[in-house]
Amino acid sequence: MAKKTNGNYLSGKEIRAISKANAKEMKRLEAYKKRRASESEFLTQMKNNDNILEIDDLHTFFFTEQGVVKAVNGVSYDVPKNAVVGVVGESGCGKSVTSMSVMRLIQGPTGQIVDGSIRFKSSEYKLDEKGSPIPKADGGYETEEKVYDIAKMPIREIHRIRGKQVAMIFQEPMTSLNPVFTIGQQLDEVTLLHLPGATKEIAKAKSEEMLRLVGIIPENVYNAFPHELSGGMRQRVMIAMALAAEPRLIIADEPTTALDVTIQAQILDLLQDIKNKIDGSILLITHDLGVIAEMADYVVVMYAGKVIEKGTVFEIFQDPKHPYTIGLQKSKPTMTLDDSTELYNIPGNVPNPINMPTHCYFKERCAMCTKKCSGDYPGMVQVSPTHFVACHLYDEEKNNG
Amino acid sequence: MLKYILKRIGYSILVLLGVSLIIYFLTRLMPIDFVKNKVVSVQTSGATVTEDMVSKMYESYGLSASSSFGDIMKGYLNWLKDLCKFDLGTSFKFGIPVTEKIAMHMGWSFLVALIATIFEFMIAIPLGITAATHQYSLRDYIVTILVMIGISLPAFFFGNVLKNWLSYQLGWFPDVGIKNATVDYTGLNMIVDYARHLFIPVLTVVILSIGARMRMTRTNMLEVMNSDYIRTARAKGLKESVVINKHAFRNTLIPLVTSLAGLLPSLFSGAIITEQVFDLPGIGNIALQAMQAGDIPFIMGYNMFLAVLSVIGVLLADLMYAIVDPRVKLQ
Amino acid sequence: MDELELKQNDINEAIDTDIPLDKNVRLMSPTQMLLRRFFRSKLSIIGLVMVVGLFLFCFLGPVVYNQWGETERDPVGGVECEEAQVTTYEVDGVTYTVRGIREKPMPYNVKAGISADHLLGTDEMGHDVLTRLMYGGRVSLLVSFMTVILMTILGVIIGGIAGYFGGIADNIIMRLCDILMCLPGVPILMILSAAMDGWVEQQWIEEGMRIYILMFFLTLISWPGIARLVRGQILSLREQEYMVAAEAMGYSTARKIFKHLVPNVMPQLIVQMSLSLGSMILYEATLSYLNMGIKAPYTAWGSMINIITTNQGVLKYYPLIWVPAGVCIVIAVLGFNFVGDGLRDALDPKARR
Repeated sequence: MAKKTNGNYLSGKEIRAISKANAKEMKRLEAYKKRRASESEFLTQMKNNDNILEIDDLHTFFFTEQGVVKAVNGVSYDVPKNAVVGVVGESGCGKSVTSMSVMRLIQGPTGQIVDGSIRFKSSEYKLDEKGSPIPKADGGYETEEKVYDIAKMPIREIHRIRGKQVAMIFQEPMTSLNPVFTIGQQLDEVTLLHLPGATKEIAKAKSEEMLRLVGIIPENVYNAFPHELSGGMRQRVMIAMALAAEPRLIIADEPTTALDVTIQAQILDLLQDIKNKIDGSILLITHDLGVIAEMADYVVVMYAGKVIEKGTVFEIFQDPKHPYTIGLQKSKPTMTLDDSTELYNIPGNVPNPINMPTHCYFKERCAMCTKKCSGDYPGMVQVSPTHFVACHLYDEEKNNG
Repeated sequence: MLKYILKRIGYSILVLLGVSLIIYFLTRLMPIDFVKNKVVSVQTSGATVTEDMVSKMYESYGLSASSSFGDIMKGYLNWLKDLCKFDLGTSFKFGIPVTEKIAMHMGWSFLVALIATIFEFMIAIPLGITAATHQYSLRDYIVTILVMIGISLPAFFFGNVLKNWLSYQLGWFPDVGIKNATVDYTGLNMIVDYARHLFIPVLTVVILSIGARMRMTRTNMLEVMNSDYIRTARAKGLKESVVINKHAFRNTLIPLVTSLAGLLPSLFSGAIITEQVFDLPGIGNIALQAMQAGDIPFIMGYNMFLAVLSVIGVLLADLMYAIVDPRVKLQ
Repeated sequence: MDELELKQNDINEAIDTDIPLDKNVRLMSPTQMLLRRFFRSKLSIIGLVMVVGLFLFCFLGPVVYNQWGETERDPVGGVECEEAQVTTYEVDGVTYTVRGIREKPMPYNVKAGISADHLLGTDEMGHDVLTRLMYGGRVSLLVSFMTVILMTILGVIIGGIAGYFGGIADNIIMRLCDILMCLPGVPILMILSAAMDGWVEQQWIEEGMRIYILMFFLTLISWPGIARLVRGQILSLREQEYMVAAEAMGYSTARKIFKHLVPNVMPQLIVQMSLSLGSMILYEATLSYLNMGIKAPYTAWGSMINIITTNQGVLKYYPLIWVPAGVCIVIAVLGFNFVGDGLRDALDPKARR
């Protein structure tokens, strides 16, 4: 079919080679995911004890018939304690896949975490010899901190992390609630699952408290089914559900994208509000720079499966280094633009993730491209204690000290 | 709700009117001489068909030799009028009113179908669910192959193979009929005797119908397992077994329960082939005999009976859907 | 993994550096994707082999295996065994059954076993079973194919009208669908078959025509499934942006239908057709089994099994007469279902992996 002359299509031989290699790799990773392992195998130490989450050189691939899609290709960033970290990038840059990897919600067997580690400092109830939690004198239970490498955890152990330690708010509030259970049932479930010794009454009280926290009158909603609520209300319920188990980290994956503009503002206000009330960190994933500027303490900019720049929100917005980040800032519509200036857009498209070049992925769209850019992929350069960028333009600075 | 039901019933009656028209005119395609011959052959075989019955039938079906289009229409209207009074005429093969004959035999058909349906759901649902939750695994392949074989087997062939093997070769079960004709059992023995007679027919029906049900369960479960709310359930930290058995299963149940409600009336309709192969006194077997004898009143009555059952089935399925799915509100 | 990386390197080298990055990847062509997905499942391959094998068997088989004609009976006299008397007696509490067998001389070589002359033996009339299987298969396959094609044409036209014009036409057609879907399949055909018995008796039609008329009638009542499919597709497509665009560009109705609607309906239609083929074969076989289809001296697979409804001895002692035909039916239906299922998976845009 596709001979050498037809450069656009794979040949049958290549397809078979891809398929064979994929099958082998998927089988290996699936077996690794489903293995049984003792706790010591996935216990680890944080690099920096102030962090709650450290993603280190994460690779998450999708093994498709067309080839391996390297959706997350060596991503590293940290989430410090009680901070809001914003991850920004255009669609398909791997920001959602990274967060799904943290929750281990990547759909197998096609999608797999191939390499890297996700270190998470969890706070668990201390258990006595019989395996039941030890109550504290002032109510509650004694806790201890353990550091897990989520990427190495067998999938059967993942319930230690999900919900209790890391909760997630999804992009699609309309379909993310189970249509056949009431809001109350779905909320109570979280408390019943994660709070030791919780009864139905305790769970209901907790759910109502959470609903009030997200600005919903519990009496109106507790016994309602999801389809009776609007999109904004459902997203509030999702947020309440995420908060119910008092997790250390909340991942909000484009929480406002599917909502209309006025509701978006309300949900952002709510998140802003909650950020101050809870004792935990938020990982906010969005493609909206405005949202990041408003909410985040730290910003990670991703492009085509890699982190290209990260720093504090001031550094990224006041002093962007990477040409892509600069382009992003410029392409944001502002009120101060006068009519004569056209809105800036970055030329070209994102490279196809199946076949990445060895040089900088942004090279051909870049206005500040140099000769060096045709060489190897640039490494991370530290430009300030908290500001890192992956671009050859700044290599010199590093060399000079 | 009540308004909706009434509207649907009204609509169903219209559908049935259309069905009755088709059935009536199909029957009218039979040449009159042919009907006459059939009546004669039934008479010669010893059944009592009075001249009165025959002439009444000719009249009500507009079958007289000189019948014009007007007579046929008049015949149809007459038949329809009787139909409204639940009078389907007198079967000339069996010599009793058609409704009585149908009522007499549908119990056996229902019994076989009910037992088979219970087994069908009990086996198909767990298998369908494991196939879906272990997609592309060996289990899934085995279930898929079973599904395919189930929906591909012709009832008459498979029934005969089972009869030949389990009854004639191995001698484990009686071949035909519903009870032992030579011995009069009572109490438990009678039940055992019935069970032995019904074993192969029920097995046949179960194997033939289980495939479609498994496929339905599997497809549904797959769709549910890929939905966003299952991802939410997992993200909550629920164990996979709870995710499957509580969150996913409740959603898969909706179409299953709905289809069960739709199936209920059809249990009375009789499996023509299975009943013929095992010579059961079910309504399907009786209808086949009536057809071979050219018993017009019975054939028409039976077809109308089936159409009514299927209309009721659709209605029940819709109502059940509204009951089990909180999203559906009947207007 | 290594193998794959090698491949990727090859691809890198082959790529012209002038091609922009988002284009510099070679994907599968749509046809390749389809074939790949279809052949990925071993069941579709088995199905295809079954179907092709049966076609070769039925249409080329008689050319190779040509000792016997379709209606030719083996004139070498034979004997027929039949159960004469059954006596049971008891010795020491054990019941013995003695079956007396009487040999009856026959003018034809009937119920013969496997031999060089008859690879699958002969039936109760002295026909060669293998030969009859081939000719019977022709009838079964042809009738089912014709029925499905006719049904599809009818369904597409009627569904197309309903979906495209909407309004009253749609309403009437959909009500008609409801009525037809309410009709019981086999029992309705039973009425028609009885009517046809009359026609044959009156010599209005020939005996050989009845199966074709029956199946033609079956198409008349089984198009609603296809019609609903087509109508649904058209309705959903009409809402799509590109159809609005086509409208805005002033394309003619015919162009809109053939350029946009047909390619979108086609995949589902093909799947539906291959699955219908299986069920039509079952229908035809059932009718033939009930002796409502093709009748002696000609045959179809179902008719070859019909003998066991009247002759218990054949059912019990001569499986060679009726089992091969049943196996052929199962293979045919299974084959079409496997292929249909494979096509459905291959054509489903939502299918992952």
